[in-house]
Amino acid sequence: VTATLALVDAEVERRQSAAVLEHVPLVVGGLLLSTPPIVLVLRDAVPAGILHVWGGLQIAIAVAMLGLYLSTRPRDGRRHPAHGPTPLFPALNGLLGLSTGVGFAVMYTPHRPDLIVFMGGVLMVMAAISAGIHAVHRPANLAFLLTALPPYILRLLLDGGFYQMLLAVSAVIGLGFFLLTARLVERRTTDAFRLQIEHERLLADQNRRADALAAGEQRLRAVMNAVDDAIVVLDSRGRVVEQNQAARKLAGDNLLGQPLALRLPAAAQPDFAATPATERSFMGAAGMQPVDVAATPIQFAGEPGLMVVMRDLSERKAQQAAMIQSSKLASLGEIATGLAHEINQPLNIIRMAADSTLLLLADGNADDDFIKSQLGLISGQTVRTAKIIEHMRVFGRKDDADAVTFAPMDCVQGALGLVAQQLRVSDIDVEVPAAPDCPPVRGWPVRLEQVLLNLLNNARDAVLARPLTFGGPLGTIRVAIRHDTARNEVLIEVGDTGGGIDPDQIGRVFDPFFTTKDAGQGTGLGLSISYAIIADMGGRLSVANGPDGAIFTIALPALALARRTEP
Amino acid sequence: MSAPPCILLVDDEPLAVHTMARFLERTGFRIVTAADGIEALEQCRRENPAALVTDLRMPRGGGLELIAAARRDWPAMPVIAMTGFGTDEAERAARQAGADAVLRKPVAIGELALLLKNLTTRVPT
Repeated sequence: VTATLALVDAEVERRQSAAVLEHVPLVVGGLLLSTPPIVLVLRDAVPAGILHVWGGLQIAIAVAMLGLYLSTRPRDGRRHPAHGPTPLFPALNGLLGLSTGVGFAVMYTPHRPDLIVFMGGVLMVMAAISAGIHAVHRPANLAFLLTALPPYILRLLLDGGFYQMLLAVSAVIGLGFFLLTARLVERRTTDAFRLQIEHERLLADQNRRADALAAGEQRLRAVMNAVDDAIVVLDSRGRVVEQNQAARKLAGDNLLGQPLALRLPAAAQPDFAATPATERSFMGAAGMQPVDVAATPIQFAGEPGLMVVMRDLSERKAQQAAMIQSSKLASLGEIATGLAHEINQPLNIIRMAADSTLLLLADGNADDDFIKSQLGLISGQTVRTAKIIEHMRVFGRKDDADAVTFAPMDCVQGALGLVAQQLRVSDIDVEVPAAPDCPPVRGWPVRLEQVLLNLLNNARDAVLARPLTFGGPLGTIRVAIRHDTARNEVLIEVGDTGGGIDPDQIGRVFDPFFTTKDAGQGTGLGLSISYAIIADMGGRLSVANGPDGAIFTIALPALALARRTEP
Repeated sequence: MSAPPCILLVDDEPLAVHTMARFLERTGFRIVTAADGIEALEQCRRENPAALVTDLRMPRGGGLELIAAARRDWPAMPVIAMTGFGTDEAERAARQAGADAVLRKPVAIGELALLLKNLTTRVPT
């Protein structure tokens, strides 16, 4: 604080001396104008040498003051504070006072009372002007007053006449009066300068704070605009009062001032703010598009508001759909060989049955019962073929259908039907415990079947990768469905006896392109796609190691059992 | 030809075995069947069939193992393999294992019967 006060005092002093300098032209002008007339008036009474020396001195001092003034003038046109403080001016002022006072004392004319009064008057006028002009800077003022008046007063007192004494006394009183007044003026200007400095300091502070605020807002805005998610802030009436660039891009338009509900119908719902992040439709630049929406109440500009963050899902959806499709094709490729074999079985029976009937008919060796049973056999095998083809078609199709309610056991049976033959010839047992009272679930049965098929294929590969054991089957795959009533979820567990997954790798099995299979054997997409499919249906796909091998668990939200009415 | 030649049919598809057996029995063969490789080898020991017809893909000792084992223990017995894969690799593998003929599914049963007749009469008993 002391340091600050000292700084302020120094600044006040600097401004005072700068202010006094500003009046130098006035002083110089007064000197240049007054010196010749004074010389003229005194020329009869004072010896010419003395008078010329004195006049030259006055002019020289005036020129020196002018030089000082010009040398300290601000060059860029500013008043303060380029005018530097200069101790030279009080010195020059003192010199001027001395020159005038001592000069007049030396040039004192005892026989010319009119000139005595004239010189006294000139001194008093100069003192009055000095007090008026230099009062802002005490040292400059004192330097003149205390050097100009005392020598002449002293000379008057030495003369000793009555009127001389009277003149001296009035000069002393004038001096006192000037000193007193100057003191008051100086105090006032000091206060004015202090106020000015304080004011400037406040103004600078305010500007600095405003700059900092603007910089902070710029930084915040830069961050907000760098975010890929669309962010808008709503006022209490649901109108957009703030938006980031992603929001503009998503909407394809300026949203400011618009009610968000016009674009996001969900925003009109009363429980909108309370709903955790969910998928909604947003009317954007490219029509209705899916967005992930999260709303958080915030205090915005002193008012309660709502921050809404929207993530554009259309690209991710398209990617996901493409991945699901490509994984379908991949799994189709994987099972194509198996399916060809599968179809060849009924075809084989059909052809053999037809051929044998034809051949026996030609030999007259076929009776009606034989022909009938052969045709029945053929018909049955075509049904079997059709079933296989039905499954193939289901796999090639892009599935955009709406979610349906279905029994998960149907999917298990469907998936098993596709791989049962393969598993059987690979000596792998399949256990499917009955699941009575299992509630239905909601979603896409074909996709769930795809997930199950994928899990079954993985389980088969895990079992086949184990070293051979003699006697009994190679391994077992167990597909169990149960109802977790506590969480009201349907759990489908696919477990194998393949020895489990390396604990170091178990956390990564759902990562896209992660595979433990040999190069060229697995795409590394199956489990990640499966994960996405189950998540799409509101469920979870998880994995753990059981005593004999890996157990994959599909958890799906259970629906209430449909109440059946007896016919 | 006193007794009809005995043919061992091996396939894990019961209906396929049934269809073949039904026809071959009516065209002058005695048929014994097996559903997998191990059962087939037991039948070979018990019945000493004149020919073996087997599928390639089966549980418990696949067709290739069965063919190799039959070739080793009964070198004179003709072996016909049937494959549902319809690929050259499967056919080559079957021939390498020792099959005399390989038929691709769907099998023309008249051809099979003719083949069996030729193979069983050519071999002197």
